[in-house]
Amino acid sequence: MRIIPQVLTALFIVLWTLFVFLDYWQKHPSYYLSFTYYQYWGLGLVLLSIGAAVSWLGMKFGQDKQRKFFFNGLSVTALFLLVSMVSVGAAFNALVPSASFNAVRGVKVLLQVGGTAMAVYLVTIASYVLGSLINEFLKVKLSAAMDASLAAIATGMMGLVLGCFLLGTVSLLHGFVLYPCLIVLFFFGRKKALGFLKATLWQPLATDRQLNWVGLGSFYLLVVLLSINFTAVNVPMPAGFDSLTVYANIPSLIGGRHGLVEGYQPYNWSILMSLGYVLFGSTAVSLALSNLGGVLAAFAMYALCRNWLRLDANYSLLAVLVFSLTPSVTIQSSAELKIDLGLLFISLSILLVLLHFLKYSAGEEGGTAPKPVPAKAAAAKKGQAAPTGYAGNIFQASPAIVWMGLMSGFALGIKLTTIYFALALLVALWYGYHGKRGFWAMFLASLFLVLLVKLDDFGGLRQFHLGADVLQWGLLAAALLLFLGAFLSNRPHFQQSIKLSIVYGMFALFTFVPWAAKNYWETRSLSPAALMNGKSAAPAINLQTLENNMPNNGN
Amino acid sequence: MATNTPTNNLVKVLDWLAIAALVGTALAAFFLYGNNTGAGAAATPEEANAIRIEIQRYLGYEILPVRYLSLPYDLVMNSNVYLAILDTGVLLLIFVPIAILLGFLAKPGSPPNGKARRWEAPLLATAVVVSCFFLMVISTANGYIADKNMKIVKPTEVSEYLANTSFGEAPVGVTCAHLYQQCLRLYQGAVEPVLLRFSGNADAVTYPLLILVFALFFYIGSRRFRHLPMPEQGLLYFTYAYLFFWLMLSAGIVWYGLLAFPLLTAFVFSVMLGKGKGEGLAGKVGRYLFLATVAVSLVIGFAHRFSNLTLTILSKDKIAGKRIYDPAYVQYITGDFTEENVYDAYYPGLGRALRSINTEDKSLIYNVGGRFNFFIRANDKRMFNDNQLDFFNQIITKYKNKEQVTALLKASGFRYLIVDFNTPSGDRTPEQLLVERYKKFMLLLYENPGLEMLATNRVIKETSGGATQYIYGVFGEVQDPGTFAIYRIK
Repeated sequence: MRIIPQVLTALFIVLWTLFVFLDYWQKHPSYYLSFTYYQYWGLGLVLLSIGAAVSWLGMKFGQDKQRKFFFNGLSVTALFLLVSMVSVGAAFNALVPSASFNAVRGVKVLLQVGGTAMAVYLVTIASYVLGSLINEFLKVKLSAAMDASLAAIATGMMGLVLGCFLLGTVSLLHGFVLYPCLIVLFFFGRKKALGFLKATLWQPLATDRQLNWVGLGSFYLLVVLLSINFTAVNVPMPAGFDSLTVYANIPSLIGGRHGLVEGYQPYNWSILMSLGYVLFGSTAVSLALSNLGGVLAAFAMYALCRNWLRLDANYSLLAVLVFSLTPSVTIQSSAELKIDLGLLFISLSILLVLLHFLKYSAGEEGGTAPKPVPAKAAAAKKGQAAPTGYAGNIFQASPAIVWMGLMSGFALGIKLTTIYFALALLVALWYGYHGKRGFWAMFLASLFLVLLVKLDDFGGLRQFHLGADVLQWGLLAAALLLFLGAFLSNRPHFQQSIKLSIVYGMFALFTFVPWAAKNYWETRSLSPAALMNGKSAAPAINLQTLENNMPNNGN
Repeated sequence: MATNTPTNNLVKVLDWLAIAALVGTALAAFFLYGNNTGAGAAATPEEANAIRIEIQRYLGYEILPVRYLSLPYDLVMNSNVYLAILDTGVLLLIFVPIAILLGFLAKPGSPPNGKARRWEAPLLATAVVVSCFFLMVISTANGYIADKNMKIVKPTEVSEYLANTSFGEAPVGVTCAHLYQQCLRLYQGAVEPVLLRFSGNADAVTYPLLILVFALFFYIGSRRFRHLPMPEQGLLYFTYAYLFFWLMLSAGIVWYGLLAFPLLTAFVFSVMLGKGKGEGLAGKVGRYLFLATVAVSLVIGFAHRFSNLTLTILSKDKIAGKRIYDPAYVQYITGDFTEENVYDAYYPGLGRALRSINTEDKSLIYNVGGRFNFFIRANDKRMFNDNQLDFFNQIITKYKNKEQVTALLKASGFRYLIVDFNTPSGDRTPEQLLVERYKKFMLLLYENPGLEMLATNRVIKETSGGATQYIYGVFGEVQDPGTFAIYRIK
């Protein structure tokens, strides 16, 4: 009898897959047209050949103690640049029939792309060094090396941006100010800088014993994709509308003015991108710093798959490749350069730390948190919410929460839609302590907040939801009742959850306060809209002012 | 904690009171406001605003609950707004339900069912299947078929499409059209009449309904994945909550919820290919189909990236399929082009216009959808953006004469006008407000003695003295529509 559900389910799977795929295919004619108009058969063949060679070498020598030396960051970079040059060469020959791609042009490509890559690498290593120092100070320690490195880079970016923000308020955002600061940073963090250089450039890549053709092929294709997208940003102007009007425009304005720009919603990632102008005087580097967000997000996603979802290395690489290849990601990595990929990286980094925090709170391994009270450790083994047994100063007990708060505030300063992320993170935290009751309590409380401050009015949608003003009170009542239930079920957990939520919120506000201060300075208003948006520098024109400016007042 | 302590019982009572509070206020809201389902209806042209045109197009314009419930399907299919940057691939829509479903086929007593009641797994599996079917019905009824000329065929036009198109001409389109026909019948016969009793353009049921649907899927997910250790469960519940907030608050705009995609991709991979993958016939079928879909996604993804087509200019694009990099960019990277060359290759005449605009940084610029901020000095202080022509609409409501309008703008410091010819293409409102306003704006530019055209990439045919020539111009027999024009106010 068990065969019947299997057959029915298999039938549903086949039909659902077929229907959805066919519907998707017919709605996206660009895919089959891509084959109809495909021109790069030669390039495809060359790249596949290189890929086959790389994969074969990886399979043969990847675990060889002597030869694996060749598989390091430098060789991957060489591959990256090779793909860049080959693809530009193929494009040049196809698009410029009056000339041919020669060695001189090839060298120029290498210099252009390599130069931009080095500039981006400098910013990355500076972020890593600064972030490592900050994380040491905050006592944030993550057991997985990749998670720790990514968290350090994220923290460092926050630190760099904050520093640039402060310099920008007094119009001191100049290379002659920043370069000495970086030199000092590298001096104090020289061990970390050397460690990063070693790990990313000449230390052999840690190849998994289970790496096979799927994994190596996925890795290679990922390098190809990232190389092509990175090459595409080595240009004097972005192509996309949003890039030209906002996301590449703001860094350009900051770089030209050596200071902050009035108005606009908070633009942390744009400040980071402005380093392209401030440090290197280059639009290409500025755009590449947007692209960097996507590259780092790919690493973060790999860490998530590998370290937390226990997916093997091959499928982890394949998952990252599949995600990176979606048009929404490739376009934001190459043409419409925005801040969303940077935000994605920061968000994924926060989630990696959240996972560490939840793991510690379940008492499965040591770390910064004290071990759980033994009597309740059994509950932890069943994967249920378990007590943390934190004692003493809240700031000592929860460096991860402090860090997540700081980074969430930084993320909020990249894009205000991080509010969804922050609310969802709190919901997950409460789930960690109180199970489903905690989840629903915080979820309904968050929904109440959303309706109360009319966050659902984004896009003018609130007007369609009649009775939302009434419903919100039901949400509040339900949330409070569930909170009460959580309190009665486990008071220590409840107290801990409340404290951690407050700590999280406080530190999130802390990193957001500079923006609120800047916007208050511009508007002299404490309204939420003013604190979020500042005072637009755009002409304040309305019909009345047009008429007033007319000679004879419009008559 | 023992199950029947007074405290535990009190907690259970509080849980039920919470549900009662929620249900009670939802019912109160319905009885108080539920009749006004026409509220928030399309404004008149004089009252329409930019937000409605720009943002709400992502959500769609169906009956209110359907706008939200069909979002997962519409997002993947790009039914509401078709832009390549919104394309997130098809993998998740197919395999998220399958990943959930497969877990319910495990034998009782083994994860994930654990100690579940025997009826629970089949019931929840059925709920997943029914949900997929319901999603298909409500989404396709408001979707479209793309015919061989890439014209949109609405579901109500499907019969005509099937009558005029053979299977051999468009096998995929015809197959989908048959399915659309059946789904539309179901939607119009069974779903829409029920929804219209309680809803319309506005209602008091959508929010409670969304919370209810969320609760249902929360229950399904919690039973499906309850064997996972704490960190993974925490991530799962984070993803649930995040998805809900994003779909509810962001009008379905992809990049506002970009985080959902790597998380769901990672989850789907870990379920379909990880240690917890389903066994049995269905599990194997699912896994092989998953690998096949992944392989197809990779092939079409790379072809798509390498070809880099722009559909709007495809028929006239002589280098279609070669744009892995833009030609001007390729020549810049190889050192053949300067920055100026790149600007002019992209936007003919822009350099000349910029030389005028950037001689000073005080004059104001009236910008309708133009994208030249990046090139203009002090653009943040000079550019007045009216991308939806809201402000222009106010002006021409009062001032009908183009000379008056020009004089008004000039007196306030405006010296330049920039217009993007694609401005009306973003208008998906039933009223076509932006289209109407755009036509009036172009009339302002047409033969206006107060304006001088500085640059455009539109090509028109001009015949004088028997000779035909093609020049850059805005009004005339259009040969190449171009994308922009820049005018100076004299």
